Amino acid sequence: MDDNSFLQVKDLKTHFSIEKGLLFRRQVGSVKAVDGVSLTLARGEILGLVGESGCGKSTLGRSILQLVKQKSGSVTLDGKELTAITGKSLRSSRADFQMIFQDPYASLNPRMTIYDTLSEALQSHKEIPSSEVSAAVGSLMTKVGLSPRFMRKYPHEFSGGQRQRIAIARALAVEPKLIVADEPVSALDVSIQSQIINLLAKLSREMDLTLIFISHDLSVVKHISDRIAVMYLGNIVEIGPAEEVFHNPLHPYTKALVSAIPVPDPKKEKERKRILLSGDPPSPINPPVGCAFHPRCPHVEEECKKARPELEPFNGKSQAACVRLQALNTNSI
Amino acid sequence: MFLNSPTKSKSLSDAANYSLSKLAVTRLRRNRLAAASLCYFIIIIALCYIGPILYSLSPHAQVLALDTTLPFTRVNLVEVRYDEAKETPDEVTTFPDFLEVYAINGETDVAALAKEGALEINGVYFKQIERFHLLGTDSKGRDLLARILHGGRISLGVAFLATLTALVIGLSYGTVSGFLGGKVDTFMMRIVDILYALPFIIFVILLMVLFEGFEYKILLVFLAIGAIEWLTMARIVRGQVLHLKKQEFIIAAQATGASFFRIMTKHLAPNLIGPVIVYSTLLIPAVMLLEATLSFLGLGMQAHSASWGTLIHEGQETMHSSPWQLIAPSLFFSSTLFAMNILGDGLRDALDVKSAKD
Repeated sequence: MDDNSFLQVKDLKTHFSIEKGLLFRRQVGSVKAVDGVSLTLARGEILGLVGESGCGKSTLGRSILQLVKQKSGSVTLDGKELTAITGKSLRSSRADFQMIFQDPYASLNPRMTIYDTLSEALQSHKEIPSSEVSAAVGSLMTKVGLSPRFMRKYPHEFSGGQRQRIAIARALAVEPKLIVADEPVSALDVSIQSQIINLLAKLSREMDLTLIFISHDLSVVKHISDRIAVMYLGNIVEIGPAEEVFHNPLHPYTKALVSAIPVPDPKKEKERKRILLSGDPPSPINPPVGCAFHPRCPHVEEECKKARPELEPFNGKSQAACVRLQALNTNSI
Repeated sequence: MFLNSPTKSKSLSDAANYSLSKLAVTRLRRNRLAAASLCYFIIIIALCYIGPILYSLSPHAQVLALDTTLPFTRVNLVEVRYDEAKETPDEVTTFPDFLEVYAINGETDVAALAKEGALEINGVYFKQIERFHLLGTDSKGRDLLARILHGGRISLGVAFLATLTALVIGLSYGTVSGFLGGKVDTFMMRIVDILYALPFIIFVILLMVLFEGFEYKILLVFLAIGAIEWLTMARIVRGQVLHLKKQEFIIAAQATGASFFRIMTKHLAPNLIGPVIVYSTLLIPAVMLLEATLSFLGLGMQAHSASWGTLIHEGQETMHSSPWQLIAPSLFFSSTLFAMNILGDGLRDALDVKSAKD
């Protein structure tokens, strides 16, 4: 089905080399930030991408948008192979995919007014008569819930939430088909977070946007996402419909993540059983052989240490990459 | 409706927009000491460049009979010209000297000179003048204030030009190094490290010995200072560029498809300006000090185009007998350095983007 593969990522690998040496640098190793990720998104779908710090979720987002060059693999957007294009044609095709950054204090140029920032984005891919730029900037601002009278102001005159709205407006300016939102709410107050999430949800519905929403907080992505993908050490370990991942996690790592979410009901909170993971995530420079999660997994067995498990479908809805997928989940039901 | 009204934020008013540069100016004006320093510095520049036009005494004309005159002294002199139309006198002499050497025709002529102010004896023209030496004279009878004002031009001129050279070289070198990064960056910075290790004074002495008798020695001083001072500028700029190019707004500009040129000019350069301005302001007094050191050691400016450093050097030789010859140029010099340093600090505070956030 064509519509189901609007965005296709196949075996994407992004490694950063570590260099040493005073004058003549040589490569001594590499950080395997993204290590063979495959996923498919339908047009208009919202994918929540979660994982702890350093698991490569931001790098995955940036690699999809070609802001970081991948080592191997392919990214196809609407039938166009993004990894093959470079230079000027890459720049012009950037109109199709945009990014929203984590820190709204860092993602806006402090020396440009909102008008400058938005008009730069508006005019970067199409000619707009100079008499209409102001109106276009105004309508963009209205779209994200800001009053156009503030267009001549500088970023430092706005609050974090307002800045993130500006950043969203900038991403929307080029009328993209795909947006990667890299932890767009983690720098914001909790009270503002839901506003920004709702805004993104509304806009993606209205504009038929495909959205990859990156977060380290499972509960943040739960409401907005159609599907959720869980990343661990450069790989997707579980992917499935949001409700399913949330209420019926398959992978031991996802189970631990879900169990860590506090419940607002004190009675239920008391009954909540946390799965405590011991240790830290292993270094992506030297990932463990076999399943990357095995050093911390409470259900580890010998076979986990041999080969890396692939994503496998389970009960028709979700997919998870676990050697003991069948054993663990049939037991617990 | 989930959209919140942006009017909630109290810092927003429709009337005025506060760009960072406007805020910086406001903050600088609020910093009394820095504002006063800026005013003082402007006054010094005006004195040095406009002053000599109004204050007509020559910094070069030697009146040996008038050596080491005390400050606030009024003296009577006689100008001697061999041709009446000549603008500058061939000789300036004191009244007793005039009497001794030229007043051969007797009392009447002297009286006439005193009365009329001009006299001709055997085709030589004499003119009586009165001079006021505000800061006295130096050991060769040159007016000290005139020398200081003139020396200020040289000191400030060298400082500005050397700073500008350091700025241009350092800015371009640092930007290229920081932006390209990787191996190029490593290589370029190693060169800077090597140059840093060169002993500066020896380098200057070699330069001066090599170009002994070279007419435009000021260019050499300039070259020597410029060649050293750009290193720190290059490092600062490189650090800034390294920091800026990882900033999300640069990546965001890249993501919207902005060209390399646009990213450099619209996003990188304006954010680089703050630290560069601050460092340049602090570099000017540093360069002045360096030039003064060289002049003091006798490696810099020659007596004819004396800078403040040269004047201090000369004053130091006679500090026991005539201390004002040391004190006057030192006061001008150190107060200017002080003002520049305070101004630099004030600018650093004013341009700090972080403090604009509150």
